[in-house]
Amino acid sequence: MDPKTKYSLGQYYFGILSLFIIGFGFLELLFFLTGGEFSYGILKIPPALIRSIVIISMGIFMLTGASRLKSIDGLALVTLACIMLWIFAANDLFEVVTTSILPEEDAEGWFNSLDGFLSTYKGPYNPCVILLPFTLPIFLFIRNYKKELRVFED
Amino acid sequence: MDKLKLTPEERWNYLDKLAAKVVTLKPRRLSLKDAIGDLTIRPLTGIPIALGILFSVWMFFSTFAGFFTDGFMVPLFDEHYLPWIQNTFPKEPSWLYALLVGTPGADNCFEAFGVLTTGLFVPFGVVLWAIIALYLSIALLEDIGYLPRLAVLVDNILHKIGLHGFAIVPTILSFGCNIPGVTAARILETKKERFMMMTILAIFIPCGAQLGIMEETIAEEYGNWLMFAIIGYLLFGYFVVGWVLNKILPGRSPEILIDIPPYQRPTWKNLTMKTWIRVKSFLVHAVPFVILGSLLVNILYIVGIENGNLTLVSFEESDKSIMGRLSIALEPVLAGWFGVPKETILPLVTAFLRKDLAVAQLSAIPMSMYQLFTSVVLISIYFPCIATFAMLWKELGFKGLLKSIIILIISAFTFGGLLHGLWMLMGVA
Repeated sequence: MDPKTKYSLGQYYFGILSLFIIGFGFLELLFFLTGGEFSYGILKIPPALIRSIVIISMGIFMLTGASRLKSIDGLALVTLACIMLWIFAANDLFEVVTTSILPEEDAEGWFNSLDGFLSTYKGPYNPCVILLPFTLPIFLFIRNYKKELRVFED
Repeated sequence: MDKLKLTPEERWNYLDKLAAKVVTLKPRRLSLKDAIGDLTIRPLTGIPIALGILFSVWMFFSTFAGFFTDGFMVPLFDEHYLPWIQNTFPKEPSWLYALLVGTPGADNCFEAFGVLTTGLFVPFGVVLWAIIALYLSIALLEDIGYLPRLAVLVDNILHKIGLHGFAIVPTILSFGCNIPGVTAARILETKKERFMMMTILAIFIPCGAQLGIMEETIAEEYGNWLMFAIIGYLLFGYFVVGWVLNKILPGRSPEILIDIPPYQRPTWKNLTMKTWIRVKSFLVHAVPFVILGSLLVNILYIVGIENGNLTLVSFEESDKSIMGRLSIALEPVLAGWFGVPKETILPLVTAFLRKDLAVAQLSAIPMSMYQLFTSVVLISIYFPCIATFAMLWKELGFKGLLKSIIILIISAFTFGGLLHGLWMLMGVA
């Protein structure tokens, strides 16, 4: 694929992804304000204040960065938004792992049963975990930039 | 040309000429790391990032500490260790039982208050895991190079209270333990800045041990929001007292140039080594104080004064003990000015030794959520723990320490009384 088409596709891709991120952030904020919670399939949207503010900000960073993905400033904004989402997702996954190890409330023993352990991983998961794989294409653009940088420095 | 006689401007010009002769500049493009580094120090992008990173540290801290404490330590201590030690000691309550095991029939180590029950559960069951999580996070932020960027980001805000951005480093370290925080304040240039920093750190920044216990008791019962509210109020005090001190203390607060290292990948060896050194310091310096605190409080509880002689009193007659008499004597101040139960004197005495143990003791006193709020704030600000106290003495000298204590007493009465006034206005006091 020629670089121009690649960047153009990247702009649309991260633009659309950022809208999802902003949307999830607003829903978390809405549930915090109204006291509700949403869960469907593997997705759950918890009520959260600080988290939602950060997620909305990251969505805005990604949207701003996506519009000028070819420049280093744009790429840095999108990468920064992705890193922040990874940090949140890593924290959510860490919580899932610790929950899966411990026995359920009022259950005997120190560790969870195998069934209980495995069933924890069925989800539902917070939006950052669901969005995590969709942020990975950023590596293509980072690699591309590094390649360009090497050519420039040589 | 005699270079020693040059004015600063001539010297800079000379250096420019010299550099032009020996340095060849090539056009350079920003690397991604540089660009991300810039974004994390610009307020518009840096503030949400800082909020996100500090919140992530909090999430990790809660999950990690909760996993070990609730998952393993609480069952180990409450279901196995406590029944065993209660059965091992003679059934009839004695002074030795009161000192070592604590309240007869207690069903959890938080409320037993013995040297071998609460005295061991607090440091090893709760605080240890909280500080490992906190120290690991702080070491990670240091190693990747985020802390100096945070310093640049908050520089403007901290200038309002006469400090510069780098004061954020001792502040964040203090959230782990006040002692390294106070030590790190040495980097500040003037005596005024060092005095201000050390004083407001010791008064207003709750340490990791205290946060761990707060997470286990307050957040468990009322939710994280109450903890955030308490921390928010303490930070409000940090800025208000800082601002006032900046206005009234003589001295200057000069600008400082700091080197911002590039972002770098942390190494596991560095992280574990830094965390281990700090955790070891906790085990060596703090654990004896927790045990000593439990012992002292229990002695004050079982020893009474009758006709000028020391006597042993039973649990049923605790009003006659030294602690009982202290709480009766201080009731007008505690209940009248601060609006907290007179029994709060027990955690307040303990807080001088260990604040974490004091918060644990608070959880056993029946009180409203608002009284709990005021009590935790009081425990945080009324006096630094003895280890921090010793460090302040060493760093500030006796006169400086005395000044610091006066500020501390005024702050405790002001901020504690302010809360009571607020609860009265709200009709919940």
